[in-house]
Amino acid sequence: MEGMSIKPMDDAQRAIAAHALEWTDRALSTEPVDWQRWLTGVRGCYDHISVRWPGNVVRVSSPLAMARALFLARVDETPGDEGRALIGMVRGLVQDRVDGLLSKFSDRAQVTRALHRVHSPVEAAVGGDAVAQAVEHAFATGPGIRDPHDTQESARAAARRIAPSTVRLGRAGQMANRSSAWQLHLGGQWDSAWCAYATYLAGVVGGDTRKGWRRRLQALVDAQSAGWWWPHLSFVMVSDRPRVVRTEELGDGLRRLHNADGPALVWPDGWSLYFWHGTRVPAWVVEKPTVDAIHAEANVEVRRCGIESMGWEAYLTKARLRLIDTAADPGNDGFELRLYEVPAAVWGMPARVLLAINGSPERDGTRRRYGLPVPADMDTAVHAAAWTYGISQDQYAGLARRT
Amino acid sequence: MKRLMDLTAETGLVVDLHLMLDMVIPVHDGFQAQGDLLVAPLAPLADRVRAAEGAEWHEVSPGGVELLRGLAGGNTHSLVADPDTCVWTADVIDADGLAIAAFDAMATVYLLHREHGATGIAAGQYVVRRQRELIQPRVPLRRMGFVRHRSLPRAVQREVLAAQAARYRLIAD
Repeated sequence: MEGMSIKPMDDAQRAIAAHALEWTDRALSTEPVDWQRWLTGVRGCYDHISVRWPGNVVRVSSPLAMARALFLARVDETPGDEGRALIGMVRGLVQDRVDGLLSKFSDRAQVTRALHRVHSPVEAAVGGDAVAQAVEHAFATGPGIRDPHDTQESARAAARRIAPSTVRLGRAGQMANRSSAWQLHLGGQWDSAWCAYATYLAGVVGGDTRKGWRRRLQALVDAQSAGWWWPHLSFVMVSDRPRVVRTEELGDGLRRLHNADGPALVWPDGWSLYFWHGTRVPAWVVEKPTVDAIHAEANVEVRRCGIESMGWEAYLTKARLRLIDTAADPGNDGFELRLYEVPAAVWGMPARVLLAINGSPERDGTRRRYGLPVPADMDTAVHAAAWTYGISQDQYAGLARRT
Repeated sequence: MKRLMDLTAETGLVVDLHLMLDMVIPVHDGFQAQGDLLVAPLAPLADRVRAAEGAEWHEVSPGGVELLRGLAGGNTHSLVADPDTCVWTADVIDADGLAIAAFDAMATVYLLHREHGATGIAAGQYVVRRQRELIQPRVPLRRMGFVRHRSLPRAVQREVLAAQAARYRLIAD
């Protein structure tokens, strides 16, 4: 949500907002991991699912290193057999057990509030499953030798530590599917949204603090306090946190991943991800947006990010899009509005864009220009400007003053 | 008639120094725009916008009322008025979904913003609306793998994952 309209908050709303803020900060933390606490949590999870603690903890430097390590060590897991993988047991016997009880003890309003005011903002802050999508993309587009050097080293070292003990768990006769074993991880801090949601409801629900389900919740929360972790009968693999996280503030503590000057996530091994206002983008969007790169990009959201990064004015000029109309900017003497055609191939549907100009000067005296996409049926610049405020062309033409 | 520097002195709110502080702020009773906000007289939009029944009206204090905070460290639009001259409410129903507030001014009031300076509004009834832009068609939700789906709360898993195509999104400075 861009911009926050203000409504007075009562104590309960303040408490829920503070909880979401605390968990957002935890989710995006680059502080050193408390490994003792993490270990206690993971051992607790193994205990709750009644599986013997393997004792072999293998640390890797990033989620990508984890994925490559599992591949190199020929860990064979076919998604669909998750019921036999430990992640299924952790989700089922720990997470779902707690989740179900919390739903039982809470009323609908409390659950809805927890989802909208706690789960949603924390999930948005971590970018949903953006990191997993990035790993999937890395696997789809290149072999491991293209990864950062330290990622490869970490992956090889980890694979050597687990290779002797991996077991083929695929169905007999079925082709081993090694490239997606990494998907059977728990997200660690990237799963903070659920932890935030559950700890909030657990606090609201009250009651006996010695109950068993609270111990399960605590174990899972502790186990999710580092990076991705991959539980197996013979080992547990776990990833480091990123050492760099860059975000932008959205007001009231809401954040999302964004960096206009470089990567927004960097892991200790150098694996880096770029984000533009919460959307994961290829490096070129941030480092060097060009018309050619924008037009060659298959993903429509990434194209939009590329245009914004380049700036609408620069893009419109360099891409030589068709100018449909210009008009004096009502209420803004001496400046004009311009309406351009945007090809459907660029925007994903027919559209036009209004190039508007700020009504107030910048510190250096210039006026900032910005692009506002508008529906394709806007026939004049003034009509387009009026649409952006939901009023008629005549009403906008009569604008007394714009600042 | 007030100048920008009068307002900043009275409210304690700051504006950028390169704006013309000694200029008398023009006062109008028609449509005016301040950045991404529109101040519109209520009458021409009466068929689209109205205050909700049971709306909570608050007095606008001399220090100003924040109507909209900008994102990413951006600045706030504040409504300022002399004591006992203006009431406002955030409980507004807008067929276009753009209204954030309505106010009823018995004397001249001002909308203040750090980068845009001040907008003078004559006595009357007004609605404040945000600006919108067209967004792209929603990319169809990837069918979530088992893994991701199970990381969500059960209450969400049970909901139908229908993506409603929103035709526009709201923007801010």
